[in-house]
Amino acid sequence: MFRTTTEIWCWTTGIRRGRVGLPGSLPDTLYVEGVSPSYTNADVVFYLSTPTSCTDSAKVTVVKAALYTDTNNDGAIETEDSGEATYKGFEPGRILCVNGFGKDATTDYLAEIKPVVQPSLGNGTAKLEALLGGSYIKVWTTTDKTTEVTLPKTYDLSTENPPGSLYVDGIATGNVQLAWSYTSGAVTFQDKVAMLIIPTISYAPVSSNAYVWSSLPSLGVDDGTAFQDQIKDQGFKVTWFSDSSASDTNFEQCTLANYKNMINAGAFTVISHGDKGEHLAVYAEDSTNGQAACDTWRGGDTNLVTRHYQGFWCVVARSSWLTANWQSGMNANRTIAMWSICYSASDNPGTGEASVKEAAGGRWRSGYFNPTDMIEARDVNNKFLKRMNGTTDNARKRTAGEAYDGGTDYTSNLKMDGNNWTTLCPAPLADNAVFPDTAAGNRKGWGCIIFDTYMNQNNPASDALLKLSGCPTTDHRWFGNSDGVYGLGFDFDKTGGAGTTMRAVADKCRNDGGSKGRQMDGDRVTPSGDNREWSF
Amino acid sequence: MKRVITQFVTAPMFLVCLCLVMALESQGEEKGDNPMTGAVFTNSQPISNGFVFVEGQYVDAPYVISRKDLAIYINDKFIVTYAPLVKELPLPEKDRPVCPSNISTNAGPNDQVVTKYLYRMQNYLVAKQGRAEVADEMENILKTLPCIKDVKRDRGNNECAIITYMNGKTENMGLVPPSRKPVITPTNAVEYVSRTCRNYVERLKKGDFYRFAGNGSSIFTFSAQTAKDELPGLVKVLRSSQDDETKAKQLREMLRLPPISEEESKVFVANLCPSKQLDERVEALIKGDKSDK
Repeated sequence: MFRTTTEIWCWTTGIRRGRVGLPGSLPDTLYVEGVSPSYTNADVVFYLSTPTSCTDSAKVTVVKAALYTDTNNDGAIETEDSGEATYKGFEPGRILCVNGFGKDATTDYLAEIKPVVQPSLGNGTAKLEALLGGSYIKVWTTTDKTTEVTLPKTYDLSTENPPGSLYVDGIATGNVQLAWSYTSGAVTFQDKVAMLIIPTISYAPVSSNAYVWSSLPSLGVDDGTAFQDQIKDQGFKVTWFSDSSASDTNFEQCTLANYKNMINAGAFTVISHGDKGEHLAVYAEDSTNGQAACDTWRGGDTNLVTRHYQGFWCVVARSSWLTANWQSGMNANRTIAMWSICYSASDNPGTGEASVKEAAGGRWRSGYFNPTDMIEARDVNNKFLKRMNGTTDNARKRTAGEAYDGGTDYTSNLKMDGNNWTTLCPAPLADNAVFPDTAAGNRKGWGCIIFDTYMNQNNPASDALLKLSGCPTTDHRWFGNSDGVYGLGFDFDKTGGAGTTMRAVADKCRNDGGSKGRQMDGDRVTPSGDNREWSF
Repeated sequence: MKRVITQFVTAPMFLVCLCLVMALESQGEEKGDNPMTGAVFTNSQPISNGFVFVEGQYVDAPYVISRKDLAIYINDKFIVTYAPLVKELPLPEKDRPVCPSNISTNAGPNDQVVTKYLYRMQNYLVAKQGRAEVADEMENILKTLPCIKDVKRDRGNNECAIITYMNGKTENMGLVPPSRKPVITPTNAVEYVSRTCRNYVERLKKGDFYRFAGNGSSIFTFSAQTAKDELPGLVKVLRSSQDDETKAKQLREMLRLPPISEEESKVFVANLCPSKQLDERVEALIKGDKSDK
C-alpha cells in the first residue's frame, strides 16, 4: 500500500492516463506528476509495505521552477498557476516601453519578473536566460539599476539564493522570451514568459485648435495652407488670424488678445517677418496713424516695441516677451510650433535673447536659422506634416522625431527641436499593434491593441473595444504605465474554437488631453477617424 | 536677319499662349478631379459636399467656387479678396538717391520727404551690399540728416537703431528691410488666387467645414471627420429655444474657441436662419456615423 501526500498525482502511464488513487493497489509501474511544490526537500515519501511487514520507502522532492510577470498587464503579478500564468508564454506577454521620453527625458519603465524555485533547495542550479530578443533588454537587480544581471545568469543553489525579483529594462523594440530553469543532475525544469518591448509612447497636443497667424499675407500663405490641409485631417480645427492689409490701421483678426490667445493652440504656424530673437507681430501703414495704431496695439506693454521700417510700422515681440507670455502655456498644451519666419531658429548672442522658436515654447518647435520664404516653408510644412499624418514614408514616421529625422531631406536652413515622441493624433503601433494577430489556437488568453500615443480614458473600454463576433471576451480594459494608458486589453476564451473579430472604435479611442482628444487614425494614414479591426 | 526671324517666331508663339490663357478663362471650369496646377481658375463645377458658413449664415450646397479678378466667391457670396496684398516689388535704384534739400529740421518719424528718401536709399543699398554694410551706411546717412539729433544702434537688434529727432521725438527704426519677400505680385496674382480657389474645391469635395468671417480675415475650418463630431452639437445649440446670448456662450464652449470673440459668436447665432438643408445634412452625418460604428 502507498501512502503519500497531496503534492503529487500518480498515473499508470506516462501520458497521464489511468490515475491511481492513493493509497492504492500495487501496479508494475507508476508515473508521478508534481502538482504543487514540496515544502521542504524530500518531503514526499513513497512508502511500500506488505501484510507481512516488509517495508521500503523512497523520497521525492516536487520542484517548481517558475517565472512570473504581469502577463495580462493589469498592474499585478499573479503567482498562482492559474489566470495570467496559464498564457504567459504567448505573445504579447508583459508589454514594456523602451523609455519614458514621451513623458519626460528621465522617466524609465521597468518590468518586474519573479523567478521562483520551490522548495528552497541547497543543490542544483537555476538559470535565467533570454531564448528570444536578449539584445532588446537589460536585467537589473533593483529598480535603481545599480547592478546589472548579464544573461544567461546561473545561480548555484548550494552557495546562493536566487533573487525574489528582477527588473527588466527595454532597450530596443521586439519580442522577448525569458526562460527560468532548475537543473539537478540530468534533470531540468524550465518555465517561460513572453514580453514585448514597444517604442516610447508619444503625447499628442492637448488642444485640438490649430492657428495660423497671418499678419502679413502679402508674404504668401501657401505655407499656412499646407499646414492647414495636412493637420486638419488629423482632427485639428484650424483658425486663421489674418490682417488683409498692412496699408491701413486695422489689424482685423490680428489683435493683441488673439496674439496672447495663441497659447491655446495645439499647433500653430506664423507667417510674418522675423529676426534673431524677435517676431514682427503686426503691421500698419507708414504714417502717424500707423505708428499710433501700433502703439495702441501694444497696450502699454513696454516689452513690445513699435518699430518703423521704410514702408510700414510694426510691433515687435522679442523672445523675452514670448517667454513670459507664451512659453508655459505652449509647453502645457504640448504645442507643435512651426515658425515660418526668418531667423526664428537663431538666438541673438548680442542681447542674450533666445531664438523665437525656443522662447515661445511648445513640445515640438520648428524654425529657420536664416531668411526663409513661402516656398521653403510650404515645402517643409508639407514634408514634415505628411510624414506625421502618415501620407508618406509608409506611415512609419508619425512621430515628430521620425518626421524630422535629424533634418534628413530638408534644407539646412531648417531646425527643429523638442520631444521626439510627439504625434498629431493616436494610431495603432506600426508593428506589433494587435494581439492575437493570427489564429490563436483553441485556448484562453489575453489580447490587446497598442497605440503609439497616451490615450484618454474618459470613454469606457467596453465602448472603445468591441467584439464583433466569435468567442467570449471579458474584462475589456485600458492599460498602460504610471504615466497613462496606451492600450486596450481583453481576456478571451477561445476553447470553443470560434474565430473572433475585434474592433477598436476610433470615436472612442482618443488622445489624452483636454476633455475629448482627437480620434485615432486606425490605418495610420490620414484622414483619422477610421476604426481598427483584427481577427484571431 | 537673325533678329527678324526670332521676332517672326516669337510673335505667333506669344499669340498662341495668349489664346490658350483666354481659352482657359472662357472655358471657366475645372476639369474633373485633376485641377490644372498653375492654370487660371474662374468657376468650379457644383460641389455637393462640405459645409460653408459666411458671416454666420449657412450657405446651401451645392457650392460653386468662383474667382472674379482677385476675389473669391462661393455661391456668389464674397469670401475674400487678395487685391490689397498685391505688391509690385520696387526696382532697384540705378543711381544713388540724392538727399533732398528740403528736409526740415523739424521733420519727424513720419515725414514723407524723409521716409521716401530713406526708402529709396535703402532699396539702392540693399541691391549692392550685404545687410551689415547696409545697416552701417544707413546709420551714417541718418546722422547726416538735419532733422536727426542722434542715432544709436538698438541693443535688441543690431540692424535697427533708436533715432532721436531734433524735435524731440524718437523711434525704433529698421536700418535694413526684413528678409522675407512679398510673393503676390501683379504678374502672379491671378495664378495665386486660382491656386487658393482650387484648394477650396479640393477640400470641399472632401467634405470640409468652412466658416468665413471678417471679409476673409477670419477663417475657421475642419475636416469632414471632425464635422461629424462638431456639427450635430453646433446645430443643436443654434436650434435650441434658449436666448441668443446663451447660445453664443454655449457655441464658444462647445467649439472650444476662446479666440473667437463674444461678438463673433453672437453674429453666428443671430445670422443663422433656419435651414432645412442644414438640418437634413447634419442628420445624415449622424446616421452615417452610427452606421460606421
